[in-house]
Amino acid sequence: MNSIAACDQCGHDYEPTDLLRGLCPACLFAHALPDGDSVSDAAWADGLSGVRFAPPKINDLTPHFPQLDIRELAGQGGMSAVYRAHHPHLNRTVALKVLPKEIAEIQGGAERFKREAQTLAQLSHANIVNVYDSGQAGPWCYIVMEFVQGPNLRQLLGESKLATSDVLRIVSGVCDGLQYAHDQGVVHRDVKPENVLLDCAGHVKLVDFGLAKLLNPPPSSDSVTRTHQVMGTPYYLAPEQAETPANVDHRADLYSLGVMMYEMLTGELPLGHFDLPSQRIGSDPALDAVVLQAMSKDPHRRYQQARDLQRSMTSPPTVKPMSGKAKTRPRWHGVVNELILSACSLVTALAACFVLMGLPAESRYDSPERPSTRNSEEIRAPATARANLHARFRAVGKRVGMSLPLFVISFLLSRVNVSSATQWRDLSPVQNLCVPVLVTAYVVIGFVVLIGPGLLILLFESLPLIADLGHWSAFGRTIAESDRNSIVTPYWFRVYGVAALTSASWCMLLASVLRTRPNLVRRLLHPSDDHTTAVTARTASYSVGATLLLAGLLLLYAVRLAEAP
Amino acid sequence: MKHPADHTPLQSPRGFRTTHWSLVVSASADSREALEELCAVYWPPLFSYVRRLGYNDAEAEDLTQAFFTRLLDKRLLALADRDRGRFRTFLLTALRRFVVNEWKHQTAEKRGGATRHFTLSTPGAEQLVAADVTTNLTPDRLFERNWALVVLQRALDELESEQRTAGKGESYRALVPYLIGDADVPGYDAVAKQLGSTSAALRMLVVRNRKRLGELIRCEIRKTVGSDADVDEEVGQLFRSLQS
Repeated sequence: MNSIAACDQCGHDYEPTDLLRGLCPACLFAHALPDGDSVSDAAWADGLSGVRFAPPKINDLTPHFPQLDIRELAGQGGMSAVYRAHHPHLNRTVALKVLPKEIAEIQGGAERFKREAQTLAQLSHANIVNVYDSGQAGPWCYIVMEFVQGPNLRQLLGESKLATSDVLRIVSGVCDGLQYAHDQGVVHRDVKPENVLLDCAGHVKLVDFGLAKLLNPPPSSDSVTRTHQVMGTPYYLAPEQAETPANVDHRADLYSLGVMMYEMLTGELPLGHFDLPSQRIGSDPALDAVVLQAMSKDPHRRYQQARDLQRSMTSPPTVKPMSGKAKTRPRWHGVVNELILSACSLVTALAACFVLMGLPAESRYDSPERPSTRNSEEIRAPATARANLHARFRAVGKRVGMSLPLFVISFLLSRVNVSSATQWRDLSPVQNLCVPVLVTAYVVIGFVVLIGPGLLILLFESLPLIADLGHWSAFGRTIAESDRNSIVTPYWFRVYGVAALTSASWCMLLASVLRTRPNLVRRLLHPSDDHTTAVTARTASYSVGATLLLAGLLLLYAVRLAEAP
Repeated sequence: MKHPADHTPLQSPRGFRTTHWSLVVSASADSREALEELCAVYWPPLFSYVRRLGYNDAEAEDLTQAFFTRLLDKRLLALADRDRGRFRTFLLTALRRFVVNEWKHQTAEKRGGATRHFTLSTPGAEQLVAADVTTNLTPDRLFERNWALVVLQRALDELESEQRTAGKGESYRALVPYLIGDADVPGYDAVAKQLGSTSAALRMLVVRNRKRLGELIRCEIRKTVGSDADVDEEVGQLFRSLQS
């Protein structure tokens, strides 16, 4: 532990280190300020603005807590500071919650704090943080309690959207804790994401019973309540908490839980005329009913018990399996998406193939060595084919060059739409349907333009080697005069078939990559994207791939049947 | 590269890259080395941030290491919105997201033993973050403060090596205590005697060193912001973080 020194120049405390030659960092840094300003009181005040109180320094606390090894400030609430500490005798990490002097001096502050300790001490439940000790140490009111290592729900919500299954799990845990507390006659009255902690095992822990109310209220509770309304966040408050604070009962917690659940599902607070979660994110409509009933303005129309909410939420029809790609979307949504997606990708693939894959045949057709007439059974000698390879490559290059604008346009379109796919849940169904179609178009066209020609040339060239494989040997090597004028001929069907097969293999490859490396798609599509896009893209790729595979096989089979003697 | 008009043009110190981090990022060819350097310099604030979140030293180090590995390997930096924003803010945001994701992975028991390519090594930086357990700042403020300390340490090291190169190492070391503050500190005479110089000359030297230190700090900060206009704001913010 370094010693703290007060700077002679600016008066601030600092820890001298050799790295800074034992000098005061603020004074050194002041040289870099514009115009060489030194410490300005305005800047200092600005830096502190928004801080209601300074958490007590560890050095000030240490003398009063000889039984604890206080490590660091773990968090700071509206009324208290929480430190991570080690209890050497018990050999466990504990949380030390301390009431700052500033708050203790506010009327009712210390009283409320003590009441929280007593309230918590009554409660012993897996979903409620455990209290080990409480009391007064020197000038400090304190509570020693279980240390929960992990983020609070607010932090989780801030980083990414939660899967519906996670929401249900967390809400269920909160319900367990609340039901227990309510059974003991305790109303939390400040249920909000900040007060729901999640430990490393994913267990839910309710904390901060600082505003909790005993259902047999002590006479002083009114003043406490008034303070709370100034400091608490209003969004989670039940209407009766604002209107008739004296008559608040446990159903207020269920209202707050409903708001929290809405926020967990949609990422937004239900303000004004809000959309139902199913409208916003396509979640199960059954959950809408749960959220709405929990958020009823009239306490009598709410769930009357936390366990009722939990039960209606976890009843079989509403809860989907924990695994599975479509767990956060209703079934029809995915099916329609995939159907339209598949149809569109098939059309796209065929169109792209038609434009791009007539190429080798055309180039052969125009090459000088080409005999003036051909029939569909004629197979050129491999030597001639190789002689023409160069010309074919040139023609491929030309065609690729011609199709580049097409590719760029489809790329840009898809990229724009893929970006918007990150707000997948916020889009209308029509938009949602467009996104995967364009993504697919991008993938297929990208594949056909960039990779397809090369692969196909390879395929063409290797065909003489596998000439025995029935009609495959004729593919790409022959073109009848009639084939030039009509696209409904066996030759073109083969082209389509092979194109579809190659595209299918690509899509399957993509889907497999997305399955094994879901992070890849995040980087490809959007750096800050969440899991949803990876799943969406994977689903899309699988369905496109399957469709193309089927289409390709069917076409080739049809050609075979048609050409059978 | 333009400099704010009210400051004398910054002389690029030896070994310093004075381009903004955005430019470092966008020059893709040899950017990795430059980025690694930048990350290697600024890991301690991130490390202490993670630790302040409640992880122990070993876990925090693992997480920080994994974070940088991810950052460098996956070219997240190249995807950063580099037109605006500071390197510091970007790193902190990315780290927060990373820690939460890691936590999710951990709870899902998916966390694999990723190979690590990034080594946390800045000589002496451990000292800097070793002290943080005794402070009572929130993780964000602690992160800011540590960031400022790293900037300061870099600038001081650079100043010292400049002075040494110029053959003034001895007088610089003797005058280090005078670097702080603007007011004249009494006692130049004794040092002057010891160095065989005059107190007027030393006072001059101190003033120049202070000014140069300020320039070096700004120079260091320029690398981590999106534009020159942001430098003043960043200096102010980091300065305030040191005062708490």
